[in-house]
Amino acid sequence: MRARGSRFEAWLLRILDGCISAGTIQEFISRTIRSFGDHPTAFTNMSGAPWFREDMRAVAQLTSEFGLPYPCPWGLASGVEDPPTLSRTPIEWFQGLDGNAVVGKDGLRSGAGAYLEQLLLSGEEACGESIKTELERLLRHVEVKRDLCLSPIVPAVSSDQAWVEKHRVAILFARHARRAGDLRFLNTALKLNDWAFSSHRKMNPRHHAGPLMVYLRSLVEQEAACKELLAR
Amino acid sequence: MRVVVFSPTRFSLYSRLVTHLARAEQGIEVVGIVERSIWNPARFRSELRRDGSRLLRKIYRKFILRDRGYQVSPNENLSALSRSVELPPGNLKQLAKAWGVPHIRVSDLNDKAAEEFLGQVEPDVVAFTGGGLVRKNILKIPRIGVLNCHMGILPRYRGMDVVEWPVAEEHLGEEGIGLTLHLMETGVDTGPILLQSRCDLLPGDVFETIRARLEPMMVRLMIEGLKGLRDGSIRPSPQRLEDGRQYFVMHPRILDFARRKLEEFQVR
Repeated sequence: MRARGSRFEAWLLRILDGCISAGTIQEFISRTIRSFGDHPTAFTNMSGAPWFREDMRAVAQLTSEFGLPYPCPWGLASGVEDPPTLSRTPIEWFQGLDGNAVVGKDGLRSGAGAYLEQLLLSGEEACGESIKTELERLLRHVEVKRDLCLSPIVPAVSSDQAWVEKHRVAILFARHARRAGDLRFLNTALKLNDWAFSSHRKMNPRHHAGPLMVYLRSLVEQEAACKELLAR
Repeated sequence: MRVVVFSPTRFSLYSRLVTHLARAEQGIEVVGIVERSIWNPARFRSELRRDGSRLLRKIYRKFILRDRGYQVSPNENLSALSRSVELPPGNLKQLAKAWGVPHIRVSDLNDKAAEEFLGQVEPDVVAFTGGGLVRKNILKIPRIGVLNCHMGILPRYRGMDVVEWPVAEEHLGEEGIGLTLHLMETGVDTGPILLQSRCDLLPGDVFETIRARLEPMMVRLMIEGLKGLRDGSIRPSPQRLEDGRQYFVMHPRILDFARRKLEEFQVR
């Protein structure tokens, strides 16, 4: 009776917190990697999207680099250079924003996660402080708005693309956490991925290959960051 | 010096202790108490969104266990302090009536009613003991400002869960765990600092025992700050924004990590 009571309490607390256990996340990663292997048409359908290959490669690389227990059936495509996946240079995109604000009252600027990640990777000096400020603003926005954050996307995009945009922000946070050793960003990436979990739990790769692959990457980036920052 | 106490609920032991001890000080007059109503669906929703399951524990502790919640702990805590300073029984509304202190209940501390009340009683200082964000319309009324005791070391640790964050970041040695008394501004924990107090770790400490020990320290620091302002012996020292960062509610996986780090720190 007591065991049933404590299971009920744990379930209730999970519901209230919207928090997904590490075990459940890891089981989902493993299952999703397998299900992509079972649906090769998902890859064919996405062959026109270069970012999809980039995400596949990142998932394969991280699972191998960090020895995460989810072997990728598609392996590492080495020596193949993908075409650039962003339509503008990150600095052009950033300087073109109204007041350099990636998130405003009207919503999140499309491409924010991907462009900010590229800007941070390039170590762009010209707008270094502004990028840091925007990262902090984005972090605060997610924490304050919680599961209502990062929407709508400006300009408007399809629901699948809106998920992709949100996952790109979670990827940005998980990667920045590792680069800067800043646990606050991993903290928020964990929350973003938890909030997205219920919507992706039963997504079929045949119909939603794009958002599912980016979510998969986001979870693998999160687990890699956890392994690096929380296993000390 | 005229003081108004802002309270998150009428059952708050922290608010009652601050009011009781402030009244006992010469030259400090508690001229009003503003209590936030708990019967506010917007407040419940926003706190549930922010705190999740922790809100249930908070409700259980504050509204069901009330003072009994502290009595089982051997630690120094608010209940032990209330006994040692002979806090009279009763909730804040009952105490206000017994003391003859004007008291109002508002659905939000930034309400027009709170603003008008402060306008009438003309406080020098508001002692904030919880109840949500305080906005500009209220912050500008008291002559000196609104005092808040933050459970963390400023300016480095602003925001939420700042007892746990220094441990997770392994900054216990540099920043430590403690309290900062500061004047409130519209930014989160960015206002000028008046006093700080650090808390040593004890063998077997977990975050819950540290927090329980910090609570009576908050009461004392608030009273020390009021006395210092009364005497003119404390000068608020402005914070530089760039010296700190804002922290948010900790995810359970990072909290587990912080708990491990706290254990390791104690073994060392």
